[in-house]
Amino acid sequence: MGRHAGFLYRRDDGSVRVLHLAFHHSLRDDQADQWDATIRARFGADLRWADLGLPDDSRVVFAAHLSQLLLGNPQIPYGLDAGGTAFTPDGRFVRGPVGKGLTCATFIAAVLAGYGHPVVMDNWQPRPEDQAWGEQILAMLEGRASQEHIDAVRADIGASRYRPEEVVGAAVSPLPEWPLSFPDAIALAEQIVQELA
Amino acid sequence: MTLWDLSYLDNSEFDWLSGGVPVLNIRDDRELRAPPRTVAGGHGRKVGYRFHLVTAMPGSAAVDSRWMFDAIASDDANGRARLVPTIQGINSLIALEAYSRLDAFFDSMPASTASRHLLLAVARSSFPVRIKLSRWQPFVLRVRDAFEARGLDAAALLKGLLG
Repeated sequence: MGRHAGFLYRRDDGSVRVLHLAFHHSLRDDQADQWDATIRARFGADLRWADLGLPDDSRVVFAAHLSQLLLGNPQIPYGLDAGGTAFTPDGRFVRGPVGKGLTCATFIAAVLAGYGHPVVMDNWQPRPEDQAWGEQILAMLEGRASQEHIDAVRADIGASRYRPEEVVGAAVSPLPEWPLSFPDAIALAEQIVQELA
Repeated sequence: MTLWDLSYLDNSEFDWLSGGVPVLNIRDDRELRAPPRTVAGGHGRKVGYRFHLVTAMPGSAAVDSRWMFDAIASDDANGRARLVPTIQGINSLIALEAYSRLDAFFDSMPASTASRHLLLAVARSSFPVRIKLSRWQPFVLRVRDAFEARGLDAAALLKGLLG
């Protein structure tokens, strides 16, 4: 299926966690080493990380903010188009119209934007391969989402896709460069893909 | 660009999240009736209160406002330990739409002495409802000035909040 992304952070109990939108209504806060072992076993891949491009003090505060996101048990729909959705710092997910939702990548962008740190611009362009990816997501939603949601997502197939490596590349670039444009994020994403190879 | 795997993870690579998850509780009201006591310390300023303010919010249960006093009395040495209670406190007041209470808190926060992490957390957490908070911008401007006076990169820390 491709790549996946989330926030890696440390809690005050010393545990290192991965906060990520795994799929439809599945926001997870996994123990990083356990999740790493799981994806190694299942996909032969491993977890890689880089520092968020925020100043050190901002990252301390942002980590505290991340720990609060799960308290409201937000049920975040998985969708190809995030239109109308938003993440507020008090842990509330604001739903958009039916079928709208987040991916692992747009979850990262939405959380950062909700905290006053927009990391990517809204000028992403659709690409031919987005169609095929959308079809795969639709197939995966079968049996996991309501028919109403699935039908609405089908209408969004072909929408511009923020790929995990693009949002990650933007998020780990220096803060003065935020928010990154589509071409700049693509360039950084290519570096990430090379690193992962 | 370098991506690290977990084997490179150590204490120095990450920002610690300090502070446990607080449980809001209502203190015994005998404490409310006790006269406030202050503890002088540091550079002569009052650093603590021995009673807990319970605030009755319209249409809701009383909430523990202890975190406010802890935030006001904070400094860079103890601020990180108070981050989670402060963020939770801000979030609670936002959920209750207690904007006048938040405004009063902003005016009470001593930007020159309070923990830089708490100042930043307060500014960021209240950012989405800033249009409802008449004292938000003056507060953030004070934080900006204080950060600059402390030699911090105010522009980077407050990026996206002003202008």
